[in-house]
Amino acid sequence: MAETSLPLETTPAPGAGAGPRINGLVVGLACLALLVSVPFIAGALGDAFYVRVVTRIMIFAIMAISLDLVLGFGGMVCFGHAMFVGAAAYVVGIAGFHASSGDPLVLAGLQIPGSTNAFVVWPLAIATSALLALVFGAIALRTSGLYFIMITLAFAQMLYFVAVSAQTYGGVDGLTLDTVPTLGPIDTGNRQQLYWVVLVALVAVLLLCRRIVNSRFGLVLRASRFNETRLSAVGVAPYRYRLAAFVIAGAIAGVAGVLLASSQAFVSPADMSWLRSGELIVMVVLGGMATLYGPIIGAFFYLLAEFGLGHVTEHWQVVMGPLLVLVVLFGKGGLAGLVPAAWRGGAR
Amino acid sequence: MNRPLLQVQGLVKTFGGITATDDLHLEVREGELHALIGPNGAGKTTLIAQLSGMLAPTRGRILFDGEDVTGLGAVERVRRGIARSFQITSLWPALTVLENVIIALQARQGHAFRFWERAGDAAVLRHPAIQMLQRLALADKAHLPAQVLSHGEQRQLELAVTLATGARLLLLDEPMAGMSGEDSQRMVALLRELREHCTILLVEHDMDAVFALADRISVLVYGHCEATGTPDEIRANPDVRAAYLGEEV
Repeated sequence: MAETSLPLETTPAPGAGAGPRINGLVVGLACLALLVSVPFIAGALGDAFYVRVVTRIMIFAIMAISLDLVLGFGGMVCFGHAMFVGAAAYVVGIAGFHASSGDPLVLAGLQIPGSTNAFVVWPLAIATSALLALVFGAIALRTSGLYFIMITLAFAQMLYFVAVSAQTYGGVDGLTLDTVPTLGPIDTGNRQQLYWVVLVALVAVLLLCRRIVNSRFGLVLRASRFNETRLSAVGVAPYRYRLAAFVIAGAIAGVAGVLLASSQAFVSPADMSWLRSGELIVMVVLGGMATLYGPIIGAFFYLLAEFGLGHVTEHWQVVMGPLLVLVVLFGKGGLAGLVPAAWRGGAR
Repeated sequence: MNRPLLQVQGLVKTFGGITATDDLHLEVREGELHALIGPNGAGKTTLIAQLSGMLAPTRGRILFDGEDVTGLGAVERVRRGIARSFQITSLWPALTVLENVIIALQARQGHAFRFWERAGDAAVLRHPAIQMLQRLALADKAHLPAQVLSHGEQRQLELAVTLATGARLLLLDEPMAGMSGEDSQRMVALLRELREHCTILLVEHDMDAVFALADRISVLVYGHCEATGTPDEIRANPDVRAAYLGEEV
């Protein structure tokens, strides 16, 4: 067939053209510039607190993006996503614990020495989260809908109680890290240095996920959310794609977990509680599902509201609750839906 | 006479006490356009669901290209070369028209475990997808979400997605349902063209289209195949006239 004679480049639809992409890029770069300037502004103000706050928010944003991949794009309502964060954080904590005590971890007859080398501990921690996602996902993805929500919650609770009962590692009180991992010349215990590591991780995760959702894999994932029957009618069984997405999301949550361990110098069962998992869902829904940048907005909004309103009253969720209801009812696309369409250059 | 591509032998499907498919025998020959007609509730859509592997029959066998495919699921049957379209349009409404077609195309090209390249930028997907859309006069809508298309356009996209699987046997469940006259005519022309490349089992209520297009027609009544023959034979069959055509032709 004479392929070359055909007009293969069709006119893009409004909103998908070069103009909005560039606007989206400008807005994205402006936000990035703002984040880059935070340490300098905080330095000028002589208040390192802001660096800590924004570091924490960015780590939660990574968690929320990871959840958006399965919840927003894949339509899998994972109600235990914090377990992947907590698992990685605990690997860092336990490795640090044995490094400072000097006693190796004895596991199945093997003597594993502790470590605070991020090049060793972080990949191990992230792989643990990914493996956990693989095993739990393989089982949970055999169910759907409400059952999927309950089974992910059950797995997370299981892990939560394992952490609570691990007396060696602090049990319910959690585990303080005497020394946090060092990443080559970078000391992740240093607030400023950790800030840059987290910012780089956030940007990398965002860009990676944007590639993924627009790839062939991402297309199948998005399609599986809308119409599974049609997918099987064109010869695609969605199970393996969903599982792969679950594992990728688990690994990204693991990235957030290792960063969280460093930023808190502490890990506790609270880091993988169902409350935390619920907060992550709120951030994604509040910010805008299946947008990737929405969860970042959601994380900032939620945690800044917590910090801000938390000063006024400890019952700050009295305000947050109705706000969430309003956003869900009226802003169908979450907070991201309030961003003018012309600015949006996000995933499509 | 061409060899049979699809053979249905003694197919039975019961839902509780209701028999939707009742000892059905059917043979679709390679290269023919075989129409399936029958009154509402005759079990046409139930049959399509069983042929496409979405519904397991209670009894009986389905042979495709001489092989027993009765136990295979929908995904595996598409890989063998049987694809269906849906009577009630079944698309991915939030995805673009182009993406809808690309999903079917990439399934045909093997797995989709490719995480980096934008699916819409890959020439091996984009070019055939645009060509497919041109055939169905949808190319200028390629970048719109499927949900904003008109009903007729969605019906065409439904067919485009089914065609993009590259199947040898198409099971088309009322492709012209609810279409305007102009759209139906385009669809008839398209089906006539498709007949040259694939074997088609067509369920359709539009009798003009059926008698114009079909090589052979089977009449389904109460889940049972009442008669099979050329359009002329079916028109002349007194039983068929009594059971079905009497009121419509």
